[in-house]
Amino acid sequence: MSTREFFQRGPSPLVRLAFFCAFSIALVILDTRYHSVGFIRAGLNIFIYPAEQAAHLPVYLYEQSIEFFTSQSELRAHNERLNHQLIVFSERAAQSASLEKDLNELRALNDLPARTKLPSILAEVSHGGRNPFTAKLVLDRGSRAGLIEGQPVMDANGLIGQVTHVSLLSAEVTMVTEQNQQIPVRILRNGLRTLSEGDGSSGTLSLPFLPEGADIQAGDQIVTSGIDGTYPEGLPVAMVAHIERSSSRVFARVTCTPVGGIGRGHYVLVLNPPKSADSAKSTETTKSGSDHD
Amino acid sequence: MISQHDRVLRNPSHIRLIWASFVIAYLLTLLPWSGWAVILEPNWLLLVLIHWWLREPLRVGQSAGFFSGLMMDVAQTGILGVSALSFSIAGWLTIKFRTRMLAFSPVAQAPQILPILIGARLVAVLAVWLSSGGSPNWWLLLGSASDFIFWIPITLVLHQQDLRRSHPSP
Repeated sequence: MSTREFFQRGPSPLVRLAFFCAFSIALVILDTRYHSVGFIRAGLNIFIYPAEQAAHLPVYLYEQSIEFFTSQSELRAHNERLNHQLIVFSERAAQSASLEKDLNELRALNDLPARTKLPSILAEVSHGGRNPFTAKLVLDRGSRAGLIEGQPVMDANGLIGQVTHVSLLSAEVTMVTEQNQQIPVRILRNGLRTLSEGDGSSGTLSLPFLPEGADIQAGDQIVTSGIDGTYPEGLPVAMVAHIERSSSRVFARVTCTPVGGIGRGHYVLVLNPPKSADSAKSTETTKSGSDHD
Repeated sequence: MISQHDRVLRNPSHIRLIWASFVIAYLLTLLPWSGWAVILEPNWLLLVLIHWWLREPLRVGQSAGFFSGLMMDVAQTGILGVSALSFSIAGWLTIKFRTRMLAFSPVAQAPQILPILIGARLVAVLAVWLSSGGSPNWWLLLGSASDFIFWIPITLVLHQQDLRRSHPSP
């Protein structure tokens, strides 16, 4: 090390601290209030992606080896269960096709536009979002597979959340349980419309705007109301778990447990919001990647 | 007798070791942690940063802390700038008390580094709380315990590697 280099110190540590703190705070404000730093995130994500794949490799290999050694009897049981489900679902699919035909005929009679099926993209969960502060998932598909911000995401059981950041090869999903994440919903039993709000770290949802006397019971199913044009109508969101009524408050305190596999499940379906689906011509479910790559 | 401080200045570590330690720390951060492991996961990048802030302040400065924090925020899908802020503050504190800390052995340094580790997590918890509302998640301060536990092996391994590279055996 030369003497010259040693004495060339530049700004003092305190000045540097002030500069970096101001820069960090500006980033925090731009991200939380204006959501305008997506390009920085997307840019850095391209560099992080290969490292992420490398870090996941040992876990992936471990899971693969566990799967390889799954016993024959387990596989047979699983297969039997799937076959059983297939019969149940094909019967339901046949029913639903005939109902849909009837519905569209009735809509046509009343001069209402026919409902379009939503094209969707199948994606795999790369990891459950390593951040302890937020309820997020990261998917292995990004803008290259046609994902855009705002798309609803569901698994076999119901709604999981919404795509909030997209980079080239991956996408972040903010889950329904994330703090302040609001979704327009209705109670399936009586059609009562309201908003659900995530509770953050507890992994539950609440219905903060239901009046004390609202007709709601534990066990009620909560589904999306489709009123905002982001979430398609009728996707299962949660089940009412606990209701606390008190005459001293205007609103009841309703806690719900999400039905979608929050933090579980490997495959999810990324749907197109009804707004964009109106203009979409394709009605097929597309397996992502294959036709975009 | 040369002091540890002089030895640090005379034997600059190989750039390769510094880079390798950052890459390994980052890969550890990228492992798919979940559940309680997320809360108890050591702040690998910060531990490596503190080691190099003490040993190589001319090569690893405060800007390294800021950029590592940004990379951490992106990797953790968190609010951009939170880890950058907490690492910047930790960097300033470490550099401020550096000369004093170097007078101690790595094991004796640990209790002095603990307040910096707790401070870094406290800054992150408060920044998330102030920017996105809700209630602050104090459980995350528990992670400082694992930071503390992992500090000693990490700094010892890096220091050993450093010495081996500076004085290769014949």
